Amino acid sequence: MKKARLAVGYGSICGGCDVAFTDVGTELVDLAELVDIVYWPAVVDGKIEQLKKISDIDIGIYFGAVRTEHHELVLRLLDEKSKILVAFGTCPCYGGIPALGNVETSDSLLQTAYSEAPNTTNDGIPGLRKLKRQTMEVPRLKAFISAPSDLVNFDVFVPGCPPPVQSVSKLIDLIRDYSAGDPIPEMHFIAEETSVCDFCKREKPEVISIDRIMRIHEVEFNEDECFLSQGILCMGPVTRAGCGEEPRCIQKNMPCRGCFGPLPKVRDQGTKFLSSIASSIVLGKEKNMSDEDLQHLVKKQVLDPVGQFYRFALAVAAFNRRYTGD
Amino acid sequence: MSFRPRITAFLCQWCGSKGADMAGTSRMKYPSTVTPIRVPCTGRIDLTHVLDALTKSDGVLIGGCYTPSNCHYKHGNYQALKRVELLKVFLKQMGVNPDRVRLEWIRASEGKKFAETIRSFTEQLEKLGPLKTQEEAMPE
Repeated sequence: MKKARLAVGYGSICGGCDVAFTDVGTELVDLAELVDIVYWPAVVDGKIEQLKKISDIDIGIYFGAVRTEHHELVLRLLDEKSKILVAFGTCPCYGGIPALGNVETSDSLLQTAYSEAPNTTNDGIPGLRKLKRQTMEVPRLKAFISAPSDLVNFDVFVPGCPPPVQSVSKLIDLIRDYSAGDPIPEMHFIAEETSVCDFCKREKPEVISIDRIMRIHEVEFNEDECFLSQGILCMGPVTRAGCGEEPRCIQKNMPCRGCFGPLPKVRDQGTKFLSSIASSIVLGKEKNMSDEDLQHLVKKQVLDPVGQFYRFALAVAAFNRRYTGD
Repeated sequence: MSFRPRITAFLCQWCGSKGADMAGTSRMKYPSTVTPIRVPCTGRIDLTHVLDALTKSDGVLIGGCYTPSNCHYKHGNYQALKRVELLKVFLKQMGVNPDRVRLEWIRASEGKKFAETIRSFTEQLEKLGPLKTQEEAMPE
């Protein structure tokens, strides 16, 4: 059997996906037998010239979101040279955590990072142009962060922040099948097609009415009852399942944060949750208070809708970047 | 040519759209900036619809029955009220003026109020101008 050629490219990453990859343990040995790693900055070589030279990549894996022009270059090169392109982690699928930077403009992000932060004594701000020093070059920041899935067509998606061990095993199985000559299904998601709630074993009431939204430390909650009915925001209803037999955060008594992204056929995870949570607030008791009180109550309870509901999928939402001049 | 805003109006079938009909049958004049969409109830309007409309037009008007407590389906208007309130918090965070989404209670008989609303909303949007992203506002 001919060994497949594997390349891994990086966008804007935290490094968690590399760690998640190695979490599979001994299966990594199988992977080493299945593929030749031709490019992977953390493992073999990470120069961009190297990637430009390589041709005939069988499996290209992309980590992270597109923040700079360099990230886009890596993505385009991988897309051009690979037969199968895999989006590994939530960032290439939906933009992930880095996309939260879109609530500010790139200019103001640089301003804060290089001059306004309390521990910085830097006068100059790099600005949005390309920086060049002798032979070295600092890539330019793009105007906003985009999800790689909006820029190129991926064949396989592995959502999760980071993807759980079983997803990585499934990906390795997929690579094995591919090396054996099996075709890969189009737009294949290594995740379930239903929501987290379908897999959650907590007791769920028929109607969810929230009197006051609480933070997890503010309440002594019942470990067998739905988080939402107890007033704790849980992204389960709008999030794709697949993080385990029992959802991994909920199993550990933490509400779902929504890292597997929107459900199939839904693009805008945050807006869906915004709609559903708004209707759950004091549901059925609205007539007991005046309209102004109701409006005030809703506004007071949810302070940061972007950070809470669009945490992992802001880049693919309808309103995905900062608007100015309004 | 001066900027002419486009308004998408989601009107409930019992009052909002009847109000628009009334404005038409009474031959009232109002700007031709509005594209009405009839929905069963304001409670049926998902925020996805509103945001989608806002990416393609300059303002969104939601017209429901009389007062929130007088919804034809009892609770629909309250859902709209709460959703729009929350949406405005979100829009503010993304740098969009929350006034671009407007919620009005228009009775079936209030053709005049419908025309008046469209007129004032159009004026307001003319002052705001088109919705611009960062890179559109500052071309390189």
